[in-house]
Amino acid sequence: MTTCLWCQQPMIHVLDLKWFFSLKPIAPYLVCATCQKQVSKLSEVTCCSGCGQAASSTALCKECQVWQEKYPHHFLSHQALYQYNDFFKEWMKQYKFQGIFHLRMMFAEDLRKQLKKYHHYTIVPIPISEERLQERGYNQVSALLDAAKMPYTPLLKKEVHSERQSSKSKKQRLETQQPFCVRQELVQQIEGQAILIVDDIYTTGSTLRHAYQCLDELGVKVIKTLTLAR
Amino acid sequence: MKGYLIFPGILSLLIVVALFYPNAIFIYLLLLLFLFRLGHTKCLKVISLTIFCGLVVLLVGYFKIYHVSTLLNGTETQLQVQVAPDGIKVNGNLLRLQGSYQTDKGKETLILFYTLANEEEQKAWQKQSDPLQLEVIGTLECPEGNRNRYQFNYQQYLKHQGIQWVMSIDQIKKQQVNQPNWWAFDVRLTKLRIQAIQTLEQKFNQRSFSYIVALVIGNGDFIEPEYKEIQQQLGIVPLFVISGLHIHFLCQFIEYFLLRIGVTKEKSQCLLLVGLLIYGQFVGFGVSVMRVVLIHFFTFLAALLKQRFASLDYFFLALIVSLLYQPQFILNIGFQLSYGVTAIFLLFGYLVQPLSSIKKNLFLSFLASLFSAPILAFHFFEIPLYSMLFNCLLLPFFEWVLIPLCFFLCLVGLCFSATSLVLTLVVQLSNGIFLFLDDLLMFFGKLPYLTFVTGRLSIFTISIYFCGFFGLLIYLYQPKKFYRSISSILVCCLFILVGSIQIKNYFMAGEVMMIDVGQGDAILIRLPNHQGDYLIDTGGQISYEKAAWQIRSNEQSLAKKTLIPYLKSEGITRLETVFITHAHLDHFGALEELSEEIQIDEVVFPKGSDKSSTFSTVLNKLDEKGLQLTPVLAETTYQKQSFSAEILFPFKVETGGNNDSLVLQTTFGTLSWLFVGDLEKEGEAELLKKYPQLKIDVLKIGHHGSKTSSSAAFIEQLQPTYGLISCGKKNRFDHPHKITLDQLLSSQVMIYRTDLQGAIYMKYMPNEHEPFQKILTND
Repeated sequence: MTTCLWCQQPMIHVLDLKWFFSLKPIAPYLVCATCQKQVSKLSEVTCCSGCGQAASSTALCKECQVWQEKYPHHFLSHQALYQYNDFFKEWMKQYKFQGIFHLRMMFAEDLRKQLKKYHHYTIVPIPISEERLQERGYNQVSALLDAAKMPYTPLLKKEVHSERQSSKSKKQRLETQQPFCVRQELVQQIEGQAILIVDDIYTTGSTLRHAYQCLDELGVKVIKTLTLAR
Repeated sequence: MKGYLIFPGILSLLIVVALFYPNAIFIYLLLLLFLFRLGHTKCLKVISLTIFCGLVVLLVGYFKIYHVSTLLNGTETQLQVQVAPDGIKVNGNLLRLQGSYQTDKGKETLILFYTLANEEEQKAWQKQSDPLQLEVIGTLECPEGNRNRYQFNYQQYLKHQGIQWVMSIDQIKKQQVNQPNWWAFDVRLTKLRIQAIQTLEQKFNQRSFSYIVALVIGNGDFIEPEYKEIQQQLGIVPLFVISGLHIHFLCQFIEYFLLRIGVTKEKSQCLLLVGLLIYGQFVGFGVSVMRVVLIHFFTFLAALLKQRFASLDYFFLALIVSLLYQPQFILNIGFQLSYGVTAIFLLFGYLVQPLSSIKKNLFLSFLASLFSAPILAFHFFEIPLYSMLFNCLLLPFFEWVLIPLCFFLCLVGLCFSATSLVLTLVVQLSNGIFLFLDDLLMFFGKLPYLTFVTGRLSIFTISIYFCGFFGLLIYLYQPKKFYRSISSILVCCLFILVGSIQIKNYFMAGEVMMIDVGQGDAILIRLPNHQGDYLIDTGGQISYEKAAWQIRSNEQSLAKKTLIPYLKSEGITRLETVFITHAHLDHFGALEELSEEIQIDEVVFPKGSDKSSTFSTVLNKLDEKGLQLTPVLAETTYQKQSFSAEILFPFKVETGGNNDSLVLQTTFGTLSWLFVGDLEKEGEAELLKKYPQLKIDVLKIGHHGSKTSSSAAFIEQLQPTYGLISCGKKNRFDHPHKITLDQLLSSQVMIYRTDLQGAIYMKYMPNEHEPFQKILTND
């Protein structure tokens, strides 16, 4: 009997009529309906046009305005798939820090759907340092992209092995120095292309901004960012 | 495969429909679309299992429907037949047996009819609950096909059950009880059921009894025709076939009880499995009961095998199994409504979940009504307009009051004796509820504009309607705009339905139809492009005195049984003019009942025929209703809109006898027609004297082909190419007489007869006409 990827309960497949009257193939269901409900999609609500957070209007939120003042030349246009809530906190914990690798499949389908919309962008995942890779065994972002069966270019590299972002305070994070650099051997490949930076989560936005800055300096014209959660 | 049983379910359904309606092209289109979609699932397991299941259904269905062989040759007069206890039906003085004839080559089922001689015999048969072995003498006949268009086809109905012969028994020579073997549980259970029904019939009054049998056993035969008609017009028929809640609760209760007394879960599930099968056999696996029993059976079976499927899967499994068991179920209205509405509830249940309970109820009855509308229209040729309202009102009442009550009454009735205090008390109390329900239905039944007559819907229209219905529900429905979306769906569905009917009417050819009304005349004239419908005579039955015991419960008048359903099946709600040729019952008998259901604008009859007392009573009643009554005499032209006819007879005021018949001459297409009513030789001579040059193409032969009409001079003068005779099959007057037939043959008239060929019709357009066609196929 198939069990839910998240709650491990046996799963009953409920037929979706819209699916039946379409030409889509049978895709195995991974998550049961109850667990599915815990995820709140940001695509269904209005979001801030800067950071992609749920907001009352699409105008820049306060946080984005602060960023705007700080870096007037960086205009981040971010999109997130899901709201970062208790469920997502737990998911992150299990996927990232407890190493439950197969959880990457949970959002593969949605991620793929979303990335398909950026078909003329080159996807660049946020890298992790060698030491972290050794410790964790996988880069959580490129693993997500692999699961979504989307090609990507590992243009960025993390030279400095720093403390985990998640264990820092907001202030510490904002003060972090640029940890990324560009793999020069891949620069030619992305010549003149638009780039989509993908990460697992947007918390303060500093990681993404560092990556943005890195690519901006390279002379990339169009840069967009996307994360699973916000 | 889990969660995807909808694929084999729908394939089986389409295949069985295609087997029954091989000419409906649209079904093949749907099949192709379905296979296309199936291919796109890209799941080998689902595709192969679905195709396998489809092939099994196709093979089994084909053999069950088409591959019917017989052991009899039709000349046997003496047969040994075995009759199961549920094969015996007594209706008034008619005994109907479904028996099986057994030889070493195999077994064949046949239907036997016997007219009971007296009340004692009737009582004895009514008490019969044993399997019987009979030796009978009688004559075998092929069952009769439908005699009018869209009428119930008894021949096909029987053929689909593998029955090819009907025997009318003259004498039952020997009758002995066949004791069933100890292992024949099915026979024993059937016997138990018959006995239970007999017990219930004794202990309850007719009203309670009919509801108990209809709702607990799933057999609606005992509901009085009057109430059946009201249920049909109100559109609450689905209520009788959809609920399975009582079985659900019963299973839960028993399971809980077994667990409490210390039986393990596995064992109690095993017990329930067996119990369900026994229950199903006990109530006789009627279509709706079978659905509920099968669904629960599969649920328990899956639980026992440590599996869990979605409820839709159990449903489709039950559908496939019942289609394999008896493919002809699909033609049954109970099956269509019961499975259809359940499927709708399961498929669209997710839409209901966020709604409040009132909206939930409203939405479910909305779905049930919209779904059942074309099915009801297919069977009864009309759509109940308020069905949504009534279903909404009565659904909770049925589910929470009536069905549990009937179940309870059934148990009490079987456990307590007729004289016990408990039973009398319960009967008294419950009677009030049934009385209230019947009064309520009666009250609703008197409301105006209950139904909208659609005529017989084609499979194409129904398919289009369902495609629209599903599409709208899936893509248009928005829970946030509840009332707006359901009303727009409602409007769209009605638009599809009414639109398709209107388009059909607009492109309609004209038609002259000599309806088969048995011994009598009734000729329907439909002008091309829906310009008006006219009727010449209505037909009618001459009734004979009968003792109370002889009267059959479902016996209906000719108007109710044949004429009105036929007119409705053609989508006719209004007749411009009804011509009554003369004042005999076989020509105007059905007029009064007809006027109650179909709007008649004008009645035309020969002046003087209102002197007949029976006819004048009818005319008076029609006059009270405000119908226009027009007595006419020759020689005039009757003109109404684009219809015109010459009235050639009678010249003077008479008394409405045969020789005073109204004679009409008119043209359809390029043919000239003469309708002479029952005009006899004297009248014919008078007519000829007046019009010595009269020539026509089609003659409605006078007086049903009697020798008193159609004199040689008359036929030779008119020189008709076609002669139409309307008379009853094996009528007591021996019409048409051989002399008349010989006379017509010698004048080279092509004869068409309703007694042999069923209804006769000709389609025409203003300048052309098609050849005559007949309804009955086995000439």
